[in-house]
Amino acid sequence: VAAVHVCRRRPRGAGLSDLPALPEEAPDEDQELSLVDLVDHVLNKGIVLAGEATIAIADIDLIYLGLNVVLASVETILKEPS
Amino acid sequence: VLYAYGVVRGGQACSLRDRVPMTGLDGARVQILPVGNLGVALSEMSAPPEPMPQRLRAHNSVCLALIQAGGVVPFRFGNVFENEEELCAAVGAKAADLERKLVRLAGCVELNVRVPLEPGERPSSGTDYLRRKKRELELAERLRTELGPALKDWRQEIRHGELRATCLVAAGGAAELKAKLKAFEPEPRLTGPWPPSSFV
Repeated sequence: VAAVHVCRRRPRGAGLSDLPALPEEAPDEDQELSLVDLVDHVLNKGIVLAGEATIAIADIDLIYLGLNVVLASVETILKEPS
Repeated sequence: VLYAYGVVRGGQACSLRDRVPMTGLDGARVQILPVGNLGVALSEMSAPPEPMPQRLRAHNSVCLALIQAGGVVPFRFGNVFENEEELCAAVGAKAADLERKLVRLAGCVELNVRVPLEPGERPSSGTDYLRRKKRELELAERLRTELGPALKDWRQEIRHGELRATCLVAAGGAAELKAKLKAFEPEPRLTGPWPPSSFV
């Protein structure tokens, strides 16, 4: 079952303060960010005020997620008391 | 939609101009939207982004850059708002809490330290179990002592045969601490510096 989430593109807001575009910094190779650690930090931790994400494979949106409900690592889900 | 990376101090927007590479998800420009005394680092995107590895890296990089510019309360990946009003309402409702966290986390990063525990069979008795627990606590205490006064906060847990410690430290001292911990026995696995997401 596939679900596609469609969002209207909003007009540019007047209250945003643009910052000058600076050259993109190359990723720090020394950090050797493994994907597992990255997922744990970026998807599993941090403040959730509101959010949503769509999991897709091969450009087909598969699952629409409410961020504060579903996005957690398997480890965290297993850690939750049943 | 507006994709939010995290919250910074309101006055931080000016200092960010010179110090932060402001490229976020999919190369989108990162902007600071003032909300009361706070600022929200965000990018405008055409749709809520899927959590792809390169986007996770971009989110992480933006948060790290914001630490260099003063501090950030990092958001989890995927905080998306339909418009400024929705974003301002969500941030405004938690403004006092976010301000407190910003003060506490200013200039801080987290390091993750995983120390392997001695392998063993299931405890054969209650005494055996307690002895093992005591050794684990002693190891954690030894690690804390090694980190010394640089440690601002600390989380620990025992999982999958490892002592997993999350250490909140000043961004400037992270490299030195990592070098110091490489000499720790048993040798730990170190990752970071990360945005202080475990302490929000």
